[in-house]
Amino acid sequence: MSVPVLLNNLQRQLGGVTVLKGISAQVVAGQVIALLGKNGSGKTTLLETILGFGFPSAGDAKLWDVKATDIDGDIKQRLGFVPQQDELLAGLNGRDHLDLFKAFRKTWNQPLVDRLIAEWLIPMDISIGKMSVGQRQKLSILLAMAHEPELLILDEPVASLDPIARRQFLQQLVEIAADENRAVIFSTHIVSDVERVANQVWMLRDGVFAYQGGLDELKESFARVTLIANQPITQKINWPHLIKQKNNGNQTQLTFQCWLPEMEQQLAQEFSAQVHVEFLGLEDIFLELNQ
Amino acid sequence: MSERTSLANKVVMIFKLLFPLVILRWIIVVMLATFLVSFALTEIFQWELAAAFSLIACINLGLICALTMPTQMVAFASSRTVSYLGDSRSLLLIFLVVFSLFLTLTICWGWDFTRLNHDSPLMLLGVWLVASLILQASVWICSRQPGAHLFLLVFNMILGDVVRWLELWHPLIISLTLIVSWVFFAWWWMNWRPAKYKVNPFFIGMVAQQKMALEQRSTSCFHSGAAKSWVGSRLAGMPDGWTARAKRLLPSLVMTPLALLPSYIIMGDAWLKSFVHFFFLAFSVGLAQIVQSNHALNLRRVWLYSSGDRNELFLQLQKCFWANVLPFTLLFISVPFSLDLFLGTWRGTNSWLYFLLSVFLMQLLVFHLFWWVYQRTHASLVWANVVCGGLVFWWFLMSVATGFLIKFPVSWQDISPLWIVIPQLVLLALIYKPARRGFASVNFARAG
Repeated sequence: MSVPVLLNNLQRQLGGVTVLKGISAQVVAGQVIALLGKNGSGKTTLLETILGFGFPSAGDAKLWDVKATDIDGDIKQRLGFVPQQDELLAGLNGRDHLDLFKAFRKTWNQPLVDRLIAEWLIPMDISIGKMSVGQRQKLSILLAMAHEPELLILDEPVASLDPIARRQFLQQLVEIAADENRAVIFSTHIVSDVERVANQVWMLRDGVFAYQGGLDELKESFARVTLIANQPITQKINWPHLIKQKNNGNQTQLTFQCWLPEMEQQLAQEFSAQVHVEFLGLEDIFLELNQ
Repeated sequence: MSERTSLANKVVMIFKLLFPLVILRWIIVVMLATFLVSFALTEIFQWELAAAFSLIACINLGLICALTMPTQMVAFASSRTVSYLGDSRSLLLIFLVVFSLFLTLTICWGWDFTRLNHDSPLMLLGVWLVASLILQASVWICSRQPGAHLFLLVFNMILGDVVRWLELWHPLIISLTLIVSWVFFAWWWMNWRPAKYKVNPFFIGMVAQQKMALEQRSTSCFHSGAAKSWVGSRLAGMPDGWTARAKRLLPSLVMTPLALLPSYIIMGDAWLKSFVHFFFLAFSVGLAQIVQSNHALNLRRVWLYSSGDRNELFLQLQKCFWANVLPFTLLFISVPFSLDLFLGTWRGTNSWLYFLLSVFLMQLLVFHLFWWVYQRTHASLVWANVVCGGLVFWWFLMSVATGFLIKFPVSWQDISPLWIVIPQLVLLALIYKPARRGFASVNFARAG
């Protein structure tokens, strides 16, 4: 059975710079994927390549088994996309936009549209240019959701939303996530949002995935361990998956990727020290992986 | 640091601020060097070729500065960050005065050399007054609407006549007017307190430009209206209904005759009869370039909302291009055609057929060449615009040089129009298939 997104060793060059360096992944229905990465790590390029805006320099990106750059009108009907910069039309108001989009879409959930307009307080009768950035962003999200796409891709959708609007938007994502036939990929810098709605995380660093998998597995695999010994530990510790060591007197702080519970006992024995294990939050994990 | 070094540093700083793009600064330096060297060669050896180089360099230099300086000056004066740079406003003012003098000297030298205007001691004063007024007005207009000073360039066409008229004035009156104009301008400039930052539209990125256009259009009644088609509206970035299009065209329809009016008043019927068809035909070709450029800018917006793959999108683009270009071309051409008929200056059926054929071929060429360059340069809007702009400019130049559109004393006499039309056909034949084939593998330009 075809999956919404299949990436096979995807590479992409922009202006002579290799932005994506061999990404393989697949998205199945029911997944809500948070795409994390520093500024310039290639998040937008990855999303745009998945949507067929540009050709990969190697490998391929497929949407329901069709090359992303060759998708036809039927596949486009199954997609929803919110770009980083809204692409609304000057001279039209919100209602005109809805009418235009509705005319293009084969399916349209009017009750959902009406509900979101009311909940998100989107002014539908003023022209786009007079709307605030946040209001335009809300309208863009609404237009991408109204036809209930099977694959919804959002590029930093909450960047210009206030906390209330952000919560409302996340609630909507949770509702989409409840539908097992649909998948969502969204890029963001607000890590707390990821913890609220995502069940998968793609962490992009220097054009490759530094992590790709379930959110819970990620959080369970990163641990900060404090060793309290009788004497200061001065040597460099060479343990597998150790990504950071910080010595401070008798205390040594170690950060492990791929932490296993039995490692606690092994560390205590090797260094004759008390061991305290603390699991990291997503924000700390992001910092550890990107510093 | 000595006072002289400090002043030199400030001048360099102002130069960099006025021309913030490195490429622009290099163009200016190269143009200036070309002008000075060829000017020296012309004066010493009387070489005509050197004079031609010199004139081309100084015309380009003058145009670049006259276009970019006023907007950038206004941007600085309204920037709160730059306002902390002490006496930057007075330095900018001095720069403008020096530039007006440089412009005056080069214009007078050019006129004198090409015998376009008779040599007169009052010429310098008259040209300086007109150049100063144009520059001052440019800055003032930019303070209201950045970039809106472009229409003032049309006054260059009547500069000679205005100066001849000024020569009838007493030199003291001209000098006094010149001084008063600068004093008044300086007073306004030093006391102008803008409410908000006036961004220079020439030096901001594409995203910021689109955002600015969106804000401007939102308050403009000329940009409202209903959308006719989904793809057409997305491509235009605004509603594509007929009423909306007509409204958008209205300002140019009103402003164009107004801008040409001074030339008509001074030069009269003869000018209208011999030049007007050239302007309208040139508009038609220029329109194709503008439409194409706008479509390319919005192309990425259409991809996910078009009904097929890239090949089908190309056909939709073609349809939208002609839907935008053809009606206005017919309107533009009908004006000089009717004038030709009714003013009794009929140029002949053959001439008109060649005009129409050449304009149509140019529009086709612009469409295909643009997409070909866009595809070959990995979606570079800059390259696509530069290459197509170059082609259009070359067509204007050759049409004038061969006397195809306008007969000048310097045109090649009695040359067949086929010398224009056949190269167009050949180029189109070469570019037609690669442009269509190449679109299947086109990348869409990044938004940011």
